[in-house]
Amino acid sequence: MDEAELISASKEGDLDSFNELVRLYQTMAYNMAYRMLGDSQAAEDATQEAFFSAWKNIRRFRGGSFKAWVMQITANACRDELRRLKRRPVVPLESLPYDPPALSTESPEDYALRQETGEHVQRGLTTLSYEQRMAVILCDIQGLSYEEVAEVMECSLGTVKSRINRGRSHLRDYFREDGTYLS
Amino acid sequence: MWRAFRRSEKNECFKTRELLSGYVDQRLNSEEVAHVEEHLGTCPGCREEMESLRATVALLHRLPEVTPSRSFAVSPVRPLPGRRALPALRFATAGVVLLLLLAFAIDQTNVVERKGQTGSNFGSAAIAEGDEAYWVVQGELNTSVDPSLGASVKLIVPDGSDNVDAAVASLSDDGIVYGTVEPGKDQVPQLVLMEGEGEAVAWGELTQYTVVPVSSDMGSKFAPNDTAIPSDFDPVIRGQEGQYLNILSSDNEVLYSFDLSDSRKEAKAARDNAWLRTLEYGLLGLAAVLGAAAVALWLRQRRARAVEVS
Repeated sequence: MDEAELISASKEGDLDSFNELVRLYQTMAYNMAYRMLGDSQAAEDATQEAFFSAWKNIRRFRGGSFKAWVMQITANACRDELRRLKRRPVVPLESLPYDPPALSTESPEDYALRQETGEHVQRGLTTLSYEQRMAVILCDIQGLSYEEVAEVMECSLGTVKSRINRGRSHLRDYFREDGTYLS
Repeated sequence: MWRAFRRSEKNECFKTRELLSGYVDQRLNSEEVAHVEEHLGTCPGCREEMESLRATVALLHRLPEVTPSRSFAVSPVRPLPGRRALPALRFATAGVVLLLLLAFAIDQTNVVERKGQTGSNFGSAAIAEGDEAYWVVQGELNTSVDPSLGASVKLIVPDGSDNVDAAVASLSDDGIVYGTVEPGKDQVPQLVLMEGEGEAVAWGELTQYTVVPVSSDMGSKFAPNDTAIPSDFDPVIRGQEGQYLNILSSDNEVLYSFDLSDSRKEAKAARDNAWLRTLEYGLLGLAAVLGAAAVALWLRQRRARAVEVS
């Protein structure tokens, strides 16, 4: 079944078809949540909540980009999760930094450098405002087009451009001060 | 001149930097691209800015994808326990609580009384404990004092007794006349009275009584209204030999005269609200049971939901 068929079957109440869609998009949704929240446990919670909410509301999906729709729901779940964390701040047990799998082509030094860079970037992202962070993550990490970012964030293209521009500039300044290798 | 040139150059840099992100993403139109490239050719600062922005974007692109440690597949939704029962239960609890409040309100406002007997005369045997009993003594008003009032008056003395000192103090404080009721052998109350200005010559215990014209409603004290009391009125009560009680004014003029042999006991029935109490307790119990059931069901649903999500 292709995506459209999976969606229409899901709307009919076929959970297996919906879970096919979950398998297609869960890594993307989880990545966005992880980059937004900077914590694996919180990201898992937000992602699960997002897919649960998507399943409950699948009938409300009126066509267009399913990816953007899922990302929009994930963005809302991240916002809720952030609010929840702000209300009840916890030091999660599993908030260890993420260790990316090593690539067969890279040396241990390169791997360590990549891991370190990843942590720097994650710290830099958390210094951005919620909107700028979301725009930069969607555009530069998730690879969404400006139009898709606008759909996810429910704002105009001009606003997206401005958020991406300011977010990147802010991040660049942070990296400069932090001494992160920019090349 | 030089300053103006510098200002316009800064302005150009600002404009270009606003466009750099779009330039890096190739999201500018040809005119904007030409403008940016022309400026970059002459401004090393903006060129450096563009390179660092490009490097930042490249860094973000290189960020490794994180892999979730589990699947986020949604498990089949089991119907929540008591999915339909909970709203009904909530509704029922609310209804019972509402009824309970209504019963309390009825209880508090004394709306419900024993039907048919309120204010009526009935023999002492019919007077139940808790009833508000009083003696009623027929008397006459000296109509020369206030011709507007009917000639016939009643003296009403609550049955039972109260504290003597308090009654005497009350006499001097508010001018209300007090007397003592002591049922005699023949069950006719004897009023043993005070003399002078609040000085008790009485024995036994004093209770409050009220003098009202027969035509007026019960409940007003000494006189039915203020106009009936002469301004120099100083209540002095004297017991007469025999069966009469006279209430005199300060200059010994008889204001009221009561025939003590013509007295009877009346009672205002106590509120018969035993059934209301039973209803209140019943409703309270029902509300507690329903409320507890609703809370228990809600907790079960919450647990079920939590299991579903995890």
